[in-house]
Amino acid sequence: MPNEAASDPYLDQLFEGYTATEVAEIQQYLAEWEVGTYGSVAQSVMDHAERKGVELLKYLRKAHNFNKRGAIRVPRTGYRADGSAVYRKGNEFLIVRPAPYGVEKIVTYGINEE
Amino acid sequence: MVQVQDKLAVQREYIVQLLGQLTVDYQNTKAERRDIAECYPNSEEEFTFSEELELLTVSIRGYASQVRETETVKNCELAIAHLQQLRVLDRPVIAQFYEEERSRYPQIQSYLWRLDYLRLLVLEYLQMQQSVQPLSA
Repeated sequence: MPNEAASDPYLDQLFEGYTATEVAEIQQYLAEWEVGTYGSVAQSVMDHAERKGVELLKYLRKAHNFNKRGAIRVPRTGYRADGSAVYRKGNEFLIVRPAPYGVEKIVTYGINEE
Repeated sequence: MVQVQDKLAVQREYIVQLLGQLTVDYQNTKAERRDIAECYPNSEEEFTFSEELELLTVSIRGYASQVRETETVKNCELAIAHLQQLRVLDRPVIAQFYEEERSRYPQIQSYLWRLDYLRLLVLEYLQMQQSVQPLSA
């Protein structure tokens, strides 16, 4: 599967201050995200974390750990006209879009009470 | 041509400033967003207000972030068409909220105005850029 994060020019900025182990963990999570309307996946997640006022790795971990099993999905099958779908569980939600090879990539992750 | 380039530079500066302001505004809506999430039951048929707002936010901020970092966007023509479709009040759940509840949530109301203004600024910027560089991506 092609890895969008591999050619991301914002990676150096994103990795700044993290240990090698944390960088490896971040790289793993970035592969789960779609670029959306941003210039790159790294630019996207940095902007998400800044806007939400949360530490980047913590935010990526929360999105990664969102368990779709048992979540309400809207629409129940397929995607809206704009290609998105949301998984909702408790006060968390994960908005996704379809990607090649039958997987879904994360557009954004949110908590209703954040 | 020079005048247009100057206008583009000024417009980009507005976009950068507004993007920063919207980061602060978003954080200032926290209490109101929490209240909305508690007061409005989730529908299993459509996105909630919070989910729709989040998706609009990242879609518009994405283009604005590209302009901030690179002075342009990838696939400019597609971006212009997409931005025209991202009108904040075109989303039924947001339009309904705005119609019925905006006076109760002044921070959210202000955030919606500014977000749509950012969309318009980026759209105008890209259209202006295309007028001087019609063949650029």
